[in-house]
Amino acid sequence: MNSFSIAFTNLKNNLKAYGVYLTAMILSVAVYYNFLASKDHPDILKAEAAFDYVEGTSQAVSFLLLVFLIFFIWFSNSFFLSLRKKEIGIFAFMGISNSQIGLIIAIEMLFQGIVAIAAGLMAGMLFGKLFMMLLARVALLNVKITFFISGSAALETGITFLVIFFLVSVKGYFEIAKSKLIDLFNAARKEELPPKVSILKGVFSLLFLGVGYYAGVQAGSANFLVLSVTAVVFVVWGTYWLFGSFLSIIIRYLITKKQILYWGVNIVSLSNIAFRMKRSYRVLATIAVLAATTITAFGTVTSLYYYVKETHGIEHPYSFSYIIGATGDEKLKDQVKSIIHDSSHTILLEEQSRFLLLDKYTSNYNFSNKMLLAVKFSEFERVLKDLKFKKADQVALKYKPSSGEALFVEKPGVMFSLSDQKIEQDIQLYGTRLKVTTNIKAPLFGSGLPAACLVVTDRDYAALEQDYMEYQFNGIIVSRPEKTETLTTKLFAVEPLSQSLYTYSYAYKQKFEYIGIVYFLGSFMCLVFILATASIMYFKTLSDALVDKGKYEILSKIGMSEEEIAKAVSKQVGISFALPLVIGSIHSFFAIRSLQVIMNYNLLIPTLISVLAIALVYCVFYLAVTKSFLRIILSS
Amino acid sequence: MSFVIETKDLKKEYGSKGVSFPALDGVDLSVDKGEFLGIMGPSGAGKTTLLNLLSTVDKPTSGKILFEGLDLGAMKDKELAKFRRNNVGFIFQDFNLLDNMSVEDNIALPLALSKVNHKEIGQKVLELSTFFGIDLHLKKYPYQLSGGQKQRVAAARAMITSPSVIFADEPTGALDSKSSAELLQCLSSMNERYRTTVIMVTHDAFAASYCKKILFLKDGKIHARLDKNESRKELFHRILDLLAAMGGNTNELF
Repeated sequence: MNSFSIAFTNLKNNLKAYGVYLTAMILSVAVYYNFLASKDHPDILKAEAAFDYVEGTSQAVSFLLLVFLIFFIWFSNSFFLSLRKKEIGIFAFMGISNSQIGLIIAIEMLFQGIVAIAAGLMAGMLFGKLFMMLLARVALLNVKITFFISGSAALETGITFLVIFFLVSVKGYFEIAKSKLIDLFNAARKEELPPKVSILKGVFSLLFLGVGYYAGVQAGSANFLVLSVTAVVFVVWGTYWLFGSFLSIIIRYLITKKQILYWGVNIVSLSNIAFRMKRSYRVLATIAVLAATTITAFGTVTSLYYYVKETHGIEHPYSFSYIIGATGDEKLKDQVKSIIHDSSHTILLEEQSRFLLLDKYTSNYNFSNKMLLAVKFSEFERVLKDLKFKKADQVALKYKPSSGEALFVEKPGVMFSLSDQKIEQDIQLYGTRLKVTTNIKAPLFGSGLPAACLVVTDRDYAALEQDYMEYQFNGIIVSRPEKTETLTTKLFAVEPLSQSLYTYSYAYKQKFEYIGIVYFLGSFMCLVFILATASIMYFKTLSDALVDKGKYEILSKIGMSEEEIAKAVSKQVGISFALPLVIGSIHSFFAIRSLQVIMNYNLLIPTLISVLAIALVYCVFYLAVTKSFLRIILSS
Repeated sequence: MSFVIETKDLKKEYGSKGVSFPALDGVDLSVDKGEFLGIMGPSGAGKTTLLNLLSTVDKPTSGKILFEGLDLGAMKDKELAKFRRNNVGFIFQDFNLLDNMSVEDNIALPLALSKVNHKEIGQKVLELSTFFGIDLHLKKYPYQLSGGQKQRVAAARAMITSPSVIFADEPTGALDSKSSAELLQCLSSMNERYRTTVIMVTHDAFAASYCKKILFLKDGKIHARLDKNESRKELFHRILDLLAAMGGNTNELF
């Protein structure tokens, strides 16, 4: 038997034991392949508008993904190595030299890597179509996705991971070759000493976090680059010291508080965590930082998507819109209607409203780059009702302007908060002076007439009519507005119409596609991040279980029931799962706050969604880990 | 006369059907309250099996165990765990202290699990640690103690629930002779002072000489019995004589 065959037999026998590790590796390979392959996909290449976005985004995402996967593989590998120390020790007792064992393990790891690459590529190719279909669906691309295998992506993935696995094996070799036999054999039983804690570091960790949070929140409004880098450095540093010292101090304190410690299984859970901290604070801190990154990234893409969806109705209320003179052009309107009637779409709503173009006015307030319109309040009220705007009645009641007052409706497409704001600004228009009271968020003309608008009383409108030109805005809503490309082309052929025609399908392509792709790739990457951080917790907790097995055996001997053991384990594992999640969430709340300042938009809901999504995945992993933990310590 | 423990025709077989062999083959015994009982015998005689059965860690194949008149065979696993924690204490050869708890917390453990008031626990810990001479080490961790000190911590932990019986399985097995003598003296005075029944398995004749009564097991049956009536030294010699008569190799006893 040579090293090669021993390694091979080992791998074959341990396939089940390393199931989790191997699955994680296979998934990593499959996901990475799909990210690379997405930019080669012929159907996406056809959808030219989207292609640039896909290429740019998937390149950025696959780089991030790779960095993360390297960390993940490195990490889980060292955990698995530590789990196998005893087995390695037995080899050493049989008289095999350390370097030989190192070679066996390294070859075995490389084998595992090759299996993972092969299986991962296969899984990646099989699910590639599903991945692309999801991408196309979320990005709202109207393309049919066919089965496709990208040779170059497969090659690139294969080589990249081969290099990673090779480096990991080399590291494994050296780690074993230079270790001592006694350490190998007693790896799990190594005497644990109570950790030393530094109060200074504990205090500084809070200070650093404070500085980091402050810099992060300020970054939204001031020097973004410097402040955000400062924030990241301080928060990461603070997090490590927080876990290394501050939390140890807290737990140490709890242990001296006998009324807390001497209460059921607390004595077991707290003592285990306290001693574990020294060994595991780096892992926990890393998980906290990763969780924060993931929540922030997911929160950001969700926010973008959410924002676009929320403002969609305001920006694109109509399927088609065009502008004609105030007297109207019945012939043109009939022509438009007959073209639509001839298509497969039906007209759901026809809206006509007259407006004034306020080309000259003076005000101290900056009304969206000077271009201003005016409409009658009665027409505004009708449009809101026709468009089924949620707050139509509320707007009519609450904000009805009295004579000399006006409401301000922001230009569509400007990023703004979704709540109404008081402004109280005067505006001078030839003979009329108006007081603009409130900036309200409501749909009116949409992007077909990209200008801000004043809503005035019908009498004030009549007065203004003397000084300004009046026009007529026509908006039409048809069924299935996103499938109106052919109709759009036909309508553009109608001569006077093409100058002002604005169609939904055109707007749709531009914005939704891009946001959709960013959203999909971004959230997919986040999903990989979540799964991987949760798996790191899984590996870490299970290696804890092996160390704690002896302790729980003793506890069971002195009369701790299985029920109590289960309770102590859930508490112990629960605390180590919850700590990084809670701290990561707090970090991300501050990060998203600064994003909120930049976007001037409340991101609470998307942030909560992303925190909940991550918490849910963690919960599932927590339950699985607790179960395995119990199985390990209760097995004889 | 009240017995703490009574067994009737206790049998325990190991292995599956066909290839089973009896570890205990019909043991009848009764232990008085406040007894210090030693169980001796060669390897494989069934000493540890008997201890495990008496202490409810294991269940007999047939026969009855009455604990203060209570039939243990009628109890469910969950009840047994609680029963064990409240009514019996254990001392093991390898101490079985938890490395990650201070001496104080190790002793407090069984009461803490039962959610006894922390002040009451503190008082009991102090009382017992003083009794066992480890009160100066309460804040230390087990790795900072000597073997003898560790075993006295284990004894204090066994005593904290004020159990009616303490089971000691080769308590001196990992100790040097000086620490052994100290520990046995402790157990002996504990037996006197708290009137705690002690059942100790040992194959060390010196350790057994601290007992008030000794049972000798051989091939799963009670082979002989010795009662202490004079000095410890005299008992020690009678044990040696009996072991020699039983045909065991006396050398292995030291």
